[in-house]
Amino acid sequence: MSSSTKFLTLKTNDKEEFVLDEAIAIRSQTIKNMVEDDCVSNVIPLPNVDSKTMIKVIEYWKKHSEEGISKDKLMDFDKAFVKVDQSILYALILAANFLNDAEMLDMICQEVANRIKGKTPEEIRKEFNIENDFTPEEEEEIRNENVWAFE
Amino acid sequence: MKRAELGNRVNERMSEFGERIGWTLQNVDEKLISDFCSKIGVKKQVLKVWLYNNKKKTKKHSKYQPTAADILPELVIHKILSNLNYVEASRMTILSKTWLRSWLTHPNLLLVVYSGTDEKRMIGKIDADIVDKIMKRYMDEKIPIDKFELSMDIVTPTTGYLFDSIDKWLDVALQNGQNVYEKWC
Repeated sequence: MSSSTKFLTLKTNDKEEFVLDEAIAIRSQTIKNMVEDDCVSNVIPLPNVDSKTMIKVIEYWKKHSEEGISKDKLMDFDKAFVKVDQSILYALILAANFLNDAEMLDMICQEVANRIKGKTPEEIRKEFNIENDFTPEEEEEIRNENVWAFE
Repeated sequence: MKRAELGNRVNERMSEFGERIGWTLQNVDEKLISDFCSKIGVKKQVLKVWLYNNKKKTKKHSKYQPTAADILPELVIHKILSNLNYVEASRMTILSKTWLRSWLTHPNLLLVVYSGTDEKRMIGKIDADIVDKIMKRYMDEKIPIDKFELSMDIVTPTTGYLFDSIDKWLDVALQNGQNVYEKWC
C-alpha cells in the first residue's frame, strides 16, 4: 500500500471543483490516461460534465470502490442509481462516455434498453427526445425493407 | 495553406468538426468556427472547401446521413442496441437517421437463425434470407465486424442446403473481422 493517498481535483464545466482520491478517479479511463501520461497539473478540467452529473458519478465510483461490499448490495445500488429521470440518465450516459468508464456506461445502456423494450417508435422518440429526421417516404422505405421486424 | 500541407491530424480534427456541425458552415456560430480554425491553424475558406469535398466522401458510406444532431454518439447507441435482441433492435432503425446508421454499421453481429415456424420471430430469431441480406451489406460496404456469433436453431436435420450459406457468411465475417463463433443449438 502506498504511504500517502494522492488526490486529484476535477473541475466541471460549471466551474465546480471536486477533490477525489486518485485511486477512485482513475475508474475513468480518460483520467487514468491523463495521470499515466503525466499531463495532470493541479486541476483536471471536465468540459463535458456538469456538477450535478458529477455528483452522481462520484457517488457511483465511491460505492463501487468500497472494500468488501457484496455483489448483492452493489446490484441494489445500481438498480436505485438508474431510477432517475430520462434527462439525468442521458447526462450520465454522456458523462460515462466522455470519462470512458465502460462498466458504468454498460450499466446505463442496459437501463436505456430496458426502457425501450415493448414501446412503439413514437413512444421511444418522445421519451428519449429523438428527432425523427426521416421524410415519410424514407420511413416507409425502411419499414418495407424490414417488414419482418415490424410485423 | 496548401492542401499538401494538411496533416493527418488536421484532417481528423476537421472530420470530427464536420460531423459535429453537419458538414456545412451555414448557421454555425462564427466564434465556434474562428476558434476551431485558429486552434488547428487553417483558414476558414480552407475549412469550408474541405468540408464540402469531404461531405460527399462520407455520404458515400451510407445512404442515410443524419441531419439532426442526435444527442447520443453512435458508439453509445451501439451499446444500447447490444442489449436488445435482433428483432427489437431492428425496430429502432425507424427512430432517426443516427439510430439507423448505428444499426447498419453495428460491429457485433449475434445472429440467431431458425428454420422453423413463424412464432420464433417473436423471440428475436431471423431466417436465413435475412442473414444473407445482412452479410451481403457488410461485405459490399466493408463494414468492420468485431464479433460475429451465429447460432442455429434448426428443428429438422433436413437443412443441408444451409451449409453453403453458412460458409459464405463465415467468409464475410472472417474478412471483415476477427472473432468468429459458431454455435449449434
